[in-house]
Amino acid sequence: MLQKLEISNFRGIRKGSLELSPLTILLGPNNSGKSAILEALFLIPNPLRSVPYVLRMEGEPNQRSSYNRALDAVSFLHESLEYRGYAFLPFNYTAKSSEISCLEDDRKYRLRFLMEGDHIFLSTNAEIENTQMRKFNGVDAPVFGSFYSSWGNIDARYERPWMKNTLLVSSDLTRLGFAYLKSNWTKIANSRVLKTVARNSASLSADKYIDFTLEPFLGQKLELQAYFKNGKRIRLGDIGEGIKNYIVIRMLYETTAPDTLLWDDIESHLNPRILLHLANWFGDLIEKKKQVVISTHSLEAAKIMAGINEEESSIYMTSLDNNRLRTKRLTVNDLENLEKFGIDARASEALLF
Amino acid sequence: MRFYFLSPTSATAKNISRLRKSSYEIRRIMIESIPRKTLDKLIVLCNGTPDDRVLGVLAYHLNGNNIVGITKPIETRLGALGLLASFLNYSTPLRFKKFLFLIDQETDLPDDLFINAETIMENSGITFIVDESFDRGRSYNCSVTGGREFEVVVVVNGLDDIPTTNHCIEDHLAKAKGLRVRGKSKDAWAALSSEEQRLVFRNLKGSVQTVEQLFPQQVHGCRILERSR
Repeated sequence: MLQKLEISNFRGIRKGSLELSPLTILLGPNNSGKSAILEALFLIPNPLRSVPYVLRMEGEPNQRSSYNRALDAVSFLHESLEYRGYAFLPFNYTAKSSEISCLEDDRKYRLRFLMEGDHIFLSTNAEIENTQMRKFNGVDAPVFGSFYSSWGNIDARYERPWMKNTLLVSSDLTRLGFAYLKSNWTKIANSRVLKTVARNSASLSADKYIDFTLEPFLGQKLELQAYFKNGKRIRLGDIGEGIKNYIVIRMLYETTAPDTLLWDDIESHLNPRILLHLANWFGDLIEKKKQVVISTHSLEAAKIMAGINEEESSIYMTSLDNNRLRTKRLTVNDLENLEKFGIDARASEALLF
Repeated sequence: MRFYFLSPTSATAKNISRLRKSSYEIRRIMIESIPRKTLDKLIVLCNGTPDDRVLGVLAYHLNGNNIVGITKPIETRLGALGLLASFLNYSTPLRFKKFLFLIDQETDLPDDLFINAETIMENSGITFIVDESFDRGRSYNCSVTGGREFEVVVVVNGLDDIPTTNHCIEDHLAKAKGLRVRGKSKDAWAALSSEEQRLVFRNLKGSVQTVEQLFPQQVHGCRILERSR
């Protein structure tokens, strides 16, 4: 199990740490470091490993047109109209090195991003093959990959996870997950997870799906479709956003079986009924010794997730104080006591820190 | 005075925000983001509406450099004061130095309310001495175990010149409107249309002197809150 995360000079966090539970719930205002924590946990098993996301690029004739590394997925989340690349990784865009460390089953793994000019080099303390020693500020570091801070090819020397795998999911990443599912449909269809996902998602809406297929739609283009007992079909893209996100995320999870599920903004598009369903699913995962870390702006979500899995969960209010990550652990009881006094924990940064 | 809502989606936040006529006005009575560790004063509304709207008007006239948290607990009247001790546990080290509780008088005598408030504080492990007494108001210098010190101001809503046995914030509003109250001022105020009520609040925003005359104990309580210790 991931026990503790430490971050230094990564994204908007100059310094910070967080103890992790089987279910960790990050609750906090905007710009309080929640997403950075999830991205750090997603990258630490190896940012160059393949993840179930396919990022397709147009107009790059000299480069491969699709990308599926953890680093690519995170870069996609930071893409703006004018910018694509990795310059968001170092703190304040200017730090000379960033570090993410994670204690897993009492062993500490460290991932470092070492900046040199326009280049970012990757280094880890994990025992991996094919590294190359390189001096940074007079100190040798084993490098397993490098890339430009602007978009470009990655020189990857080691692409497997060196610790238990994590999967970051969010409504923003669903589109990339959707592309992955289409690209890997045969493998997924043969893994027999589809009926399980159909059964689970059918309990959440009036539509009773029994399976999913990849079939031609208009113009013979292949489309992912859910189908009903009576043979009727509906394109996955036409299902309501919340259920669609759940279906895609559940398929990705069941297909890749990560040890830790990271879900950013869990309440996005989701009705409380689905949140209850997710809370129970997380309970099942925890029983199977899996781990879940979620971020939310919803008190309902935090209370239901932690309330159902009380002994295994921690709720943390997060805050950035001069770019230092501050956390305050709260219980469901704390949230309810604050509510009794008319205080919304999500907006109580000024009170709690 | 500008409010920092501790529950930005509450009815209190909504009611106070509805007082605005322009974004300038809203900036004059509320603030959405505050520098860290600057919030040290809290107004506790022990009754809901229209107490919140009255406070919005007071804030409009008071010094805008003072930022004050505002909350409406689930418990009403002195029940809200009973929650203070458990609230203090969540603010460590004790951030808040001053609390203003606004309570409707209803059928109680103000002195009885103060005695009850003092009993509640005693039972909550809060030691206190009376710092200042004024008409329908009392401020206390308080401390809890560990030597943490803070100030509690209790202000009772109601006016003697309104002939009713059930005094509340509507006494002040009825006087502002010039209503002849028979029975409860709450009912007389509720009988007005929302447009008539809105007009009363708009007029109150127009004159600080009128507000000081109509809401003397509330204005005094807010000024104690604004004073630095």
